[in-house]
Amino acid sequence: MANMTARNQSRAGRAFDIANYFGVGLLAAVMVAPLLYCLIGSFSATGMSSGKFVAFSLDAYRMIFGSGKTARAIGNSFVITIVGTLINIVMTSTAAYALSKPQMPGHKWLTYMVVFFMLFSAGLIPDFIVVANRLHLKNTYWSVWLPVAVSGYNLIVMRNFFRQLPESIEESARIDGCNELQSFIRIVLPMSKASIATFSLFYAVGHWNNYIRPMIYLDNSQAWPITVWLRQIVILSLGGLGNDNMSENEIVWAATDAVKYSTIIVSTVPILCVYPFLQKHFAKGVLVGSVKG
Amino acid sequence: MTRQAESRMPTSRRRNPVRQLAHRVARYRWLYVMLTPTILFYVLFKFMPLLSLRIVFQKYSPALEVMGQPSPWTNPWYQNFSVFFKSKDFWMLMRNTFSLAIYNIIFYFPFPLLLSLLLNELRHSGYKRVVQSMVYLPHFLSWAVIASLVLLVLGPAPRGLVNSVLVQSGGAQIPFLYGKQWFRPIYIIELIWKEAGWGTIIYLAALSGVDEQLYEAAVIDGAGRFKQLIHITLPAIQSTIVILLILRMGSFLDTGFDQIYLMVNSLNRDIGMVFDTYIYDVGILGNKVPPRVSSFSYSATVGLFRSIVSLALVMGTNKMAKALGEEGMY
Repeated sequence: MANMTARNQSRAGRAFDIANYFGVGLLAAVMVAPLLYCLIGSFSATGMSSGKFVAFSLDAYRMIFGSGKTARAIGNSFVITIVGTLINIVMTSTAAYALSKPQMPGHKWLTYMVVFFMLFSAGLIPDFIVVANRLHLKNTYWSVWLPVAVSGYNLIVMRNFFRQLPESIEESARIDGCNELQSFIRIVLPMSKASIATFSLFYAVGHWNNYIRPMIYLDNSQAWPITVWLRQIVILSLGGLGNDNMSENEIVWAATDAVKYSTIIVSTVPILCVYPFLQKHFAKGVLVGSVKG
Repeated sequence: MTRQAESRMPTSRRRNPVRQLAHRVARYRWLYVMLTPTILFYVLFKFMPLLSLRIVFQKYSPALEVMGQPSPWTNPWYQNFSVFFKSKDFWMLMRNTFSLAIYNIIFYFPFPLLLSLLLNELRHSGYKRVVQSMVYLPHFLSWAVIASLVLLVLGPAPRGLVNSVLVQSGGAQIPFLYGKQWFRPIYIIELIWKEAGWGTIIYLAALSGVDEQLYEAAVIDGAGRFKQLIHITLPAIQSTIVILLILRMGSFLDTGFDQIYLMVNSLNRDIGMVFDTYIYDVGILGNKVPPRVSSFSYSATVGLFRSIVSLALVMGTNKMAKALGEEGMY
C-alpha cells in the first residue's frame, strides 16, 4: 500500500488519475448502453420510434410468448446448449486427463494431432460434405453438437490444468486398486469442480450464441435456436438480404417494433443469468493457461 | 526364482520392443478407453474432411455421390484453382479480407492492451471491478444480438437512434449500415465493443504478476508514471503481447463469419464479402457460381486456399518471433 501513495505523488499523475477514472468509466457506460436502451425499448408500447419512449407496456413480451415461435426457439436453444455442453465436457475432460499422462504411449502424437487441427482446418465445405452427405446428420441436432464436440484449445488448457494436480493422491488410489478411469471419476473430477464449471460455462455460451451451424444444418424453422430466429425477425425485417423462409403473417408480426426489442432481451437473459457465475472465475488462471505443447 | 530366470526376464523384455510397447499400452488401457470418443471425433470431423478435400480436384456432383459413383476429376487437375485465381472475385476477396485483417491488427489489436493499461492504473478495486464487469459483458452476447443492437442504434430512422436524432435536428441520415465507406469502420467498432474488454483479461493477468518492488525501486530512482510504464510495465507483458500477436496472425483471415455475414447486404456486398462468407454464399447457397465448375468443388478450393494462407501466416509469425528471441508458440 505504501508504494501506491508513493506512485501517486505528482500533480500530473493525479490529473491523469482523475481523467482515467472518468474516461474508463465513460467507456464502460457506452459499452452497456445499447443493451440498456434495448431493455427500455422493450417496455415501450411501440418500441423506441425516433428514440422516444411511448408508454409502458408488457404487450411485446406477451406477444412473443403467446405466438409460440420465440418460445419454441428459446426452448430449442436450451436443448442445444445443455446437451451440447454435456457432450463437450464428458469428451474434453476424459481426453484431457488421458493426455495429461506423459507416460502413456502415443501421448505425444495425439497432442501433435490436436495442435495441428488447431492451426489447420479443411474448411466449411468439406465439413459440410462429411456432416450432411457422409454421416447424414443434417436436420438433426447432432449436426450442431458433434462437429464442435471438442475444442482443441480447451483440451490443451484442461490438460495443463490436470497436469498440475498433485500426483500423490492418485497414486495412493491406484495402490488401493483403482484403475485410471475410477481414479478420474472418484478423485480427479471432485478436485476439479471449479475448472469443470468454468469450461462448461464457456462451452455453454458458445452453444447458446452459435449462429452459423444451425443456420447451415437446420432447414426447418421449427428447430431453429433463438440466434437464427432473432436474425429473421429483427435484421431481415429491417432490411437485409431478403426474407428467406418467412411467411407474410410473420413479416407483419415481426414488424411490430416492440417485439424486436423484447426478443433481443429474451435471448440475452440466460447469458445475463450465468454472467455472475462466469465472473467468479474470470481472474483465475484456468483460462489463461498457456497453449504450449 | 533361480538366478537364470532372474537374469532372463529383463533382457527378454528389453530385446522385444513390440512386446514392451504392448505391455505399456495394456498398462494404460483405461486411458485409451477415455480417449476413444475424442479420437473418434478427430477421425470423423477432422480427418474425414481432409479426405473430402480431394473434391478440389473434382467436379463434385452430389447426385453421382448419392448413387455411389465417384465425381469426375477435373481436366486439367488445377481447373478449380485457375477458375478461382482468374476470377475477379479472387481480387475482391483478397482486398476485402486483407483490408479487414489489417484494420483489425492496426485498430483493434492495440485496444485491449491500451484498455488494460488504463484499468491497471485504477487503484480503487471496487470501481475497477464494476468497470471490468461492464466491459466484459458484450463478449457474452451473440453476434446476432450485437448486430440487432447496432441496427437499433445506427439503423435508418425512425428506428435507428442516431439517425432519428439527426433527422429531428434537421440533418441528413447517415447510411451506417448500407454505405460502403462505413463498412470497415463499423466492423472495427463492433469488434472493439464486443471483444476489447474481454481481451484485457490476459494482459491484466500478466500485469498482476509484475513485482511491486520494481515500481518501488523505480519511484526511489525518480521515475514518473510514464517512465514506469515504459521501463517496467511494458517489458513485463512483452511476451504476452507477442504470443497474442502470433495467435492473431494465425487467425488473420478469421474475419469472423457471424459478424460479417450479419453485416453484409446487397448494397455493401462488394466491400463486405470475405473468404468465409463467400464460401458459404457460393458453396452452400449456390449464389453466383462461376460457369463450368461445381459449386462445392469451387468453394472448397477457395477454402483450401484460405486454410493454407492461414497456416503459412501462423508458421511465418512464429518463426519471426523466435528469430527475435521470443519463445514462440510451439
